[in-house]
Amino acid sequence: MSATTAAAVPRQAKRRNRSHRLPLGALFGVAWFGLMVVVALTVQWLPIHDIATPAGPSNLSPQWAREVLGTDEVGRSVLSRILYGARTSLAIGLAATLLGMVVGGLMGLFSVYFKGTVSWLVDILATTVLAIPSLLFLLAIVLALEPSIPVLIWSLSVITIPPFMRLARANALSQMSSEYVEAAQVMGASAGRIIFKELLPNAALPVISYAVLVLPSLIVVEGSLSFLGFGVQPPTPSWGGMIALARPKLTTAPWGAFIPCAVLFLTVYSLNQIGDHLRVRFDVRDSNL
Amino acid sequence: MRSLVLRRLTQFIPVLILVSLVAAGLTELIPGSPGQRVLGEFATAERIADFDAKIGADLPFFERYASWLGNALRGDLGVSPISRIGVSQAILNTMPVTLELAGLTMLISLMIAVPLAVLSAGNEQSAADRIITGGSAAILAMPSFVVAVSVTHVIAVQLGWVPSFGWNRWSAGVGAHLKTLALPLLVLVSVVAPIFTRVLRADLVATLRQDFVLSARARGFSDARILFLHVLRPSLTSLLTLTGLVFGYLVGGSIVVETFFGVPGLGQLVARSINSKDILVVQGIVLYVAFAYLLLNLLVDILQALVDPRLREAR
Repeated sequence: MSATTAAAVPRQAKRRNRSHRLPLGALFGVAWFGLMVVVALTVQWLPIHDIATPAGPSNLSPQWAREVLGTDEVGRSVLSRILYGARTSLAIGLAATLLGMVVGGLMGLFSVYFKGTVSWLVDILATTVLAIPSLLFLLAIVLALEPSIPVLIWSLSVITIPPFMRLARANALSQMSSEYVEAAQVMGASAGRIIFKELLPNAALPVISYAVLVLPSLIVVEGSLSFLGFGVQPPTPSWGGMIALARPKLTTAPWGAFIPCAVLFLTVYSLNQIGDHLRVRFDVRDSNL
Repeated sequence: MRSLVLRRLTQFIPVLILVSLVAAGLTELIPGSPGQRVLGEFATAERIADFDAKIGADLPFFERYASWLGNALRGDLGVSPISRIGVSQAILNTMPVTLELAGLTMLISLMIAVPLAVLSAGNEQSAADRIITGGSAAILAMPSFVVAVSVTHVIAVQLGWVPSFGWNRWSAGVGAHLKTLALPLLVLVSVVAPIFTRVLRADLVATLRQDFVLSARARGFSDARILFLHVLRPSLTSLLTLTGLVFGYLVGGSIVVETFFGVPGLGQLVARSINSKDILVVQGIVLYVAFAYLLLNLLVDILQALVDPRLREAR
């Protein structure tokens, strides 16, 4: 990408935005995900039952007048646990995505600037992470260290580093030979200046829009871990944990499993729709993710 | 071609060494020695020291690492002090079931994805295209355990067609085997097929915009002929890359699916070993799975160069 087209991209995107409405899926995505974020931020002030104490008899079916979404097998409110679960899932997912994005993105930019050995080393590290299936890697970490929330966050962020690194590198690589980077180099700009002031701004948008797709995948992985019993530990509510807890009661009380399933599905679907839309808009170059 | 293989090999070996270091390093992260963990908190200090000395856990890290890796290269991953099973044997015993599931998943997913992607890309923006892209986006948003819970509820509980849990080997009869195979396979296909469909559709759409398609149309070739004989082959690159990556998904996915449906495969062995803190088994699986992953991706690279001559020189 030359300097002139790079400058033209945002203007074009704005024009496109005016002529085309947001697709229906992305619109729904923004609405649902926005709701989840608001819920996660305000859950302790909402007029709902406490998550630790029983709200009614166990396995109560959903009733509008009593418990909107029913109760689980020890009588806790499913609604309260879903809403608190939103906080758990989003907090872990967002923290891990941000951490992976910053570390992976910087690794990509550094490997573009320093080339040679640094680039080779970064590549080897990324391939090593990719070679171990992520769920197996996470389970191994959890086996060695207890599954606390900080451990989950950093281990989840490790598995996102290779794709972020490759994406940042693919987007910065073409700029290294552009006139403006050359001009900065001739002026004697330091490595830090070129990486942060010249390469970073142009690689940032694609990387951030890709992060919107990484977040739902991490929510799913965290859900899988919690479902297997190796993720978020009870009594902290998590969607995956709720599904696992309700599974033996699938014949008599299926809502206990289906409600968290539906919420998880809607959240992942929403983020995928937003992410796909952003990806098309900011032209993310996929590089063998 | 030779330079491509050589270039991959210069990555292969350092990565394998790093993976083995990561796997071996897991032991260092766990607090307490193996003796303490196996014999419990009431064991005397001498007994713990004896136990550690017997399995060589008192040696420095790199000595233990060297002997573990040396034996692993000869196919011997040691005997677990917790479950007292030979790790290599346990992996070999459980591997065929997981490979059967993974192989069938790939095959069925391709059989679903290729026609759907061709139909969808060949009629861009049509009703069929919208249903296929919308449907695959929806299924893609369902985590494997959500699909597992749903299909168990509908097919096993409500309809009662197949058992919801358990595994019959081939020796129990083909029908009985297929009945226990159906649900795990359905769940894994629901994860893989939509990914294949999406990726292949995107590549096909891009290829269809190229000039050689226009010239083929101008010469009066039928749409079906153009799609299957001209466009499909140059559009396979991403799909091939993906098969290498999907292998990783399938190993991870098999952990969820096999524990959910009680399939005695590698995934169940992982879950069980994590539960009993049987680290030696997990280390062995990490090492062998990573080796298989690297080998498979090398194979994919070679295959890609065969499918697409442009890749033999570039990259």
